[in-house]
Amino acid sequence: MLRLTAVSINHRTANVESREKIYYNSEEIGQISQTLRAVAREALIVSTCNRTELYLIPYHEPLTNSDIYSIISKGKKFVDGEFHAQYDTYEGFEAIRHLFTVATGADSLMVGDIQILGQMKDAYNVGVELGTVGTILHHASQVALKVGKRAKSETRISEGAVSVSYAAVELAQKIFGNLGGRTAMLIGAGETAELAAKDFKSKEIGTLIIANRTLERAGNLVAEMGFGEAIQLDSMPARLFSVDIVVSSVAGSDYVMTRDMVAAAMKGRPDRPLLVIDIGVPRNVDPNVRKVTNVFLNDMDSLNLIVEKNMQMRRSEIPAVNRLVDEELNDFIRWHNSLEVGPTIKMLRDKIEQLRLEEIARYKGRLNGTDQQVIDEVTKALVNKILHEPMTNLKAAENGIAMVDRVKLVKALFGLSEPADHLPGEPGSSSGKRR
Amino acid sequence: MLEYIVDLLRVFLPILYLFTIFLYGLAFFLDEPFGKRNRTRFLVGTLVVDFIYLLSRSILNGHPPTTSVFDIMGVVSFTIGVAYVYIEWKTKVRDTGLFILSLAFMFQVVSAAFMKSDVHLNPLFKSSLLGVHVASAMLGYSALAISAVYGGLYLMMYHEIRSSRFGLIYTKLPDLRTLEKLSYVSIILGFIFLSIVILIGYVWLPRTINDFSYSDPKLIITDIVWAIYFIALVSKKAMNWTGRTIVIVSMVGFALTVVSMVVVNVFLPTFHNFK
Repeated sequence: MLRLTAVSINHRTANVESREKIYYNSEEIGQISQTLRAVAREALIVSTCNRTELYLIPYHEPLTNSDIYSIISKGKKFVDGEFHAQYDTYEGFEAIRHLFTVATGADSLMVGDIQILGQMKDAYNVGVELGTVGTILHHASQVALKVGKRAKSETRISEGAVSVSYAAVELAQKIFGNLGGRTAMLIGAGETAELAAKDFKSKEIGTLIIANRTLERAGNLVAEMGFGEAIQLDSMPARLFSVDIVVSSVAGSDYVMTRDMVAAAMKGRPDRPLLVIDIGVPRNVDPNVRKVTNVFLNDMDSLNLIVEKNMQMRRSEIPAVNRLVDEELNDFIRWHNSLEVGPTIKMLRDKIEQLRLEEIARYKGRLNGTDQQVIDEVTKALVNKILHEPMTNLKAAENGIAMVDRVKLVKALFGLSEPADHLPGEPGSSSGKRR
Repeated sequence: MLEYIVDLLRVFLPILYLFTIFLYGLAFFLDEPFGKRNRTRFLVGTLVVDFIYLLSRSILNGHPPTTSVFDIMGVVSFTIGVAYVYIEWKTKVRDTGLFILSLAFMFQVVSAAFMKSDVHLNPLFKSSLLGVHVASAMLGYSALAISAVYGGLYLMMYHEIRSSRFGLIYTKLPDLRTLEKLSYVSIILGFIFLSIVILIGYVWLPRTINDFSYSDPKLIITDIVWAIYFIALVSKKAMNWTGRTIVIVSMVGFALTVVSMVVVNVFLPTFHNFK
């Protein structure tokens, strides 16, 4: 069994205020590393805005959950009573399963969040730098990163926009494909326009026009974005002809875009589609605009529908992701079990060799020099021959008996025991999740 | 023995095509991992079996299986499959296979159901020019069929977005621009192959066939189909047709092609069947 314990304070167990308090930056992880090294052979801290987790393999005595919770909370130097949060704990291979699941984004607040993979990579790098990550957590982290990438490429858990502004960009991409070379016009220069501008910029939109009642505000947003053109709202109808995407989010009771305006703009470009996204409340665009050929009009309800469907789709991918986690966990368990073979073989060899030497010593007085040499060679050869087949079978990948059982059997039969600090994990620790 | 294999494959092939579509359907509708993993592999396997079938028939009859409209449907089914594998490999767009291969399956079923054994060997089939002529025709019609399917998918996606439904079509299909491009590139390929067919036909047929006639219905209809696509391509350039217009032209063009070909082959006399 693997003697690993994990404590997780996450979005299910703690509110945002507590999660903020317990967040560790890399400098703070460095400060706590001394404490970790004193009690654990290996340790890894994963800390993001939605979770702080400590994975720990103690030296000798197993640490209780409250010991670990105490380490993680004391690292932040809270005064008594300042911090209280529920937490999940995982032990043995369940802790590894949890690490893998976190890496896939299946356990994230925003299911399928791909940022977690980068954050876990950073956590691993910090652990390596501080020397707290050893054989087990090194391999576990590498597999976690691998399973995270597999989840992204082999399932749809990270697909689809899950924010309204990104849903607008996704919709534009569904119509125009690559947005490079396309022209987007934002009507309004408020917070929504800013988010949309950032999303369009990230998709390398060709041209960005920001139309606003106050030219100065539009100019400020253009300056902030570092590209684009600011125009007065009155000039918007004249510019519609050359625009592919319009995102409107201004305050006001009248429609800023009417059917006649759009129909006039579409006359000179009947085959070129125009996507109009109305995020204004009350609506900025006359709903009859939808009736103009080749115009796609979508509003807040449409975008919310896209987001909800994408969230449903991501959630529906969790079973497929769990299957990937199971696959990789099985490989990890096989790898971990194989770690015990080498030391067991050594212990067996040492024990038999010791018995051989003891027996030779008993008869030492009755043998002359040549006999002693012959007996030494004969017993050595005999021991090698007797041990050859059991050792080969012990190392064999598949022979009908699980490797972990073979190791246990050999240890029990020959009465082998190991130094407490010798193996990466120790028998007897329980596996499972507790809170 | 060979006859037995041909008869067996004739029954077995539509089942293989159906199972391939089933896998593409599993992946499209349910995101089923088995379907996702194996759909392309199974399609390639089906096409290999189809190739063996077509080869066996060619050996058995002494000429390629292209002497009747039902023979041609079988070959078009195979070439649609091959063209689709190429498109999937080039574009990495895998979720349109269900629709393209349904067309191939339809052709395969009709072909298998109505095809008749033909052991008559026409000396014309020894000409290598005929091979190029027939192969170009098959590839050309397959490309036009694929173009029409992508056109149909474009219109489905177009209406899904216009009506703000955002269902399976919106989620699974590539963007409108890609669908338009796939449809347009397929038209161009179809047009090029059709041009080769006509060129070889006009150079080679009068020299080879005694009762050749320029007023043969099959020749006339091929010329008309070619002219429709030619006008569409010129108009696209001249009038900057894009999007919906070009995919509608593609679908109408293909519908006319199928109707005309069936009418000509089934109801009108032609020297162009080589029996």
